[in-house]
Amino acid sequence: MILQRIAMRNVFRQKRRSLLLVAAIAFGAFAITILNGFTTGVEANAKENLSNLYGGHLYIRGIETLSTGTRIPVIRNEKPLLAALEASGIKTASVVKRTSIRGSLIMGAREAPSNIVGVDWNAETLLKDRMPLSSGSFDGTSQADSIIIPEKTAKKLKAEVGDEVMARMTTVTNQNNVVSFRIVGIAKDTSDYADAFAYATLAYTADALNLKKGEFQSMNILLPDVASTDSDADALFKALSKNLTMAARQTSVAANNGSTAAPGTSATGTPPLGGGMGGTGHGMGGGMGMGNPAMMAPSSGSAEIGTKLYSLTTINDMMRSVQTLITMLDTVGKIVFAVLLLITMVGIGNTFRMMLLERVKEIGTMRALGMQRKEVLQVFLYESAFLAVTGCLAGVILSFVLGFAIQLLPVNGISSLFLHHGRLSYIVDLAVVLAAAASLILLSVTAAFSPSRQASRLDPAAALRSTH
Amino acid sequence: MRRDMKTVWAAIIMSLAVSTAAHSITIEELQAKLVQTDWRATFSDSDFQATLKFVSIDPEIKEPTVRQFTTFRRDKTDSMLMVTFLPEVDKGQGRLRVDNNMWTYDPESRKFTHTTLKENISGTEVKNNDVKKPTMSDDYSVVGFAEGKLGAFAVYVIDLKAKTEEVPYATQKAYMRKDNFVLLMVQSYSLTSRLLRTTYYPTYSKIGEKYVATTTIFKDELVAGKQTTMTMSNISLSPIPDSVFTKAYLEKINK
Repeated sequence: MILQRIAMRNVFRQKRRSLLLVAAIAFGAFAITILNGFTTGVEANAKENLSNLYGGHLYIRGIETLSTGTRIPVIRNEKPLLAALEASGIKTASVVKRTSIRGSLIMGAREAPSNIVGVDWNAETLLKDRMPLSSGSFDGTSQADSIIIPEKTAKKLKAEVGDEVMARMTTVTNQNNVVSFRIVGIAKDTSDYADAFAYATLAYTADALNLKKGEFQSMNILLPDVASTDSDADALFKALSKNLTMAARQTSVAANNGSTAAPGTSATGTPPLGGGMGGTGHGMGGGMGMGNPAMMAPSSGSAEIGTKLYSLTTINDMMRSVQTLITMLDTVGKIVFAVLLLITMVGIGNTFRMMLLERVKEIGTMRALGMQRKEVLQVFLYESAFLAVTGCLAGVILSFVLGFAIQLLPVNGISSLFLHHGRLSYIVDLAVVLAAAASLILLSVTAAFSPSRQASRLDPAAALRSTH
Repeated sequence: MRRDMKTVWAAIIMSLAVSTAAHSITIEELQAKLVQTDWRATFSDSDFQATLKFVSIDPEIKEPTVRQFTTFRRDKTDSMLMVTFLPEVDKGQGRLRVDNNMWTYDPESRKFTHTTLKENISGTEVKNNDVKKPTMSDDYSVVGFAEGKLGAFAVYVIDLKAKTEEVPYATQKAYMRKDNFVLLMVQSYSLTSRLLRTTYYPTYSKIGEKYVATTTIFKDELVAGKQTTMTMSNISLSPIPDSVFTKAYLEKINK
């Protein structure tokens, strides 16, 4: 215990120097913790937003090639999909059917661009739970032509509950159409990603898209555990491939680019969906248009007429572009951290060398009084460890304070896909923080080891004669 | 008295004859007239170049928006290139149609993006389909007609139904002058039979046997007061180099 006390006393002897060393180590710990906290938050928010938006984690879509060669997004029969779902053996929390309309809402002389998602309100309990209404209620959704519009759209149109709005849109074959909706609710603006969407009934939107009764565009499956997404997707894809023509599993590039086909071919030798998934017009700021899996722009191609092609995408596929960005940020963070570590280590090494020179006489005295070499070494190492631990603690605490403070501030200029209620989320991965702290402490001690060993090897008589 | 009766009978017979003659036109004949109308606006034996000026009025925007383009058409191959000159911020943007494919070009990103004939041009009521070789007779079938008057002109009001789901509008009503079979107005309807757009053709220029609508007004029937007037000037039928109808040309003029 005496050695620790000596080490602690030494730390306080040169307060300014110790403070600078602590600050350098603290900065390293702060940088890695805050970067990790926000990248983890961004990833979690993107996943939650997408899951809320699409009402699930797995998405089955259909493409049919018309006699004209045009490919349209439609699923005409749900039975084979449900049968495959059952055969796959995966557990589901909910299965919902959706359609998607891209167009604009018009009231009087005012027009607002809008994406309308067709939903079966009886099955969409999750959507109802996460969508607070500023006026109106979900009771009205039993009306065929009902619509719930976002607060921003209502403001632009100066529309209220009970008003009739027209939707200018195109059918699945891109033919112009217009339908009337009755506003039954206005969704509160929570600044979430899904806030930009209006919701109407599945049957009415299908009719507006010129689909027949019972037809829809995507089947979205919510899993009880998001961690099983990939394994469940594999099982479902296998089951679907038995009786249906499946497109190759979509990559993130294809999933986010309406004109890019996924590379490779499907299990059945069929080319992947060339039409891709049409973007909903809600880009993510960074240029990554996030397509709604329910919606695809019709396109012409060489697929066989009458072909019914299905595809399966997952939330992880959708997240891949987000994850690329996060990995990039993470890598940059790690490089910065490594550079910081290197600079800090060189600084610690030099500082301890200086300390050694300053304390030669003191070391000689202590050695003359009976302190062993090993104990001299330990004093120096304890000193470096104290500095490192204090620096790490300060850095982590500072990052927590700043991270949580930033979390309270509304953010502009970043896509709402990455935000939670319009704010960044700060989610700390304790394992990463502990690993960073441990590496900082270990490397600080390592950097101090060489001068500490030199100190321990000093000849006491020579040290006492020293002029330092 | 007898002479008067003769005159009355003659007048009745004459008016009946005129009436019968007017009614004698059939759906098939009107379909043929539609083909003729398309033919008269198509330049198959030469290339076609003109300046297009769009003046758009939007009730949500105080000042009218002016856009100017140069259009190059080769109707023989149904090719088209449209280059934006105004507004300055959009200068150099292009719309290229070759071999049934259509792209838009953005000089900022230097990227071509696939588009369709059903897409609107720069947020106006004008569609890509409106500025290319006319194909109304290919796209629509005459399913009925009536006679009427549009202003001072006697017209056939022709009901048109889309032959496929591939065209922008499910049904249209074309108002065609009886005397020279020139289109004066076209009303375009949605799948749900709601009037979406009315297109007026108030002025034409005659070039040989061809008729070119030099002023076209596209009125949005959903948003009151929203319309675009398209005027055509500097018409030339001189040959256009093949290189114009290429992506490389668009890239070159933006260098």
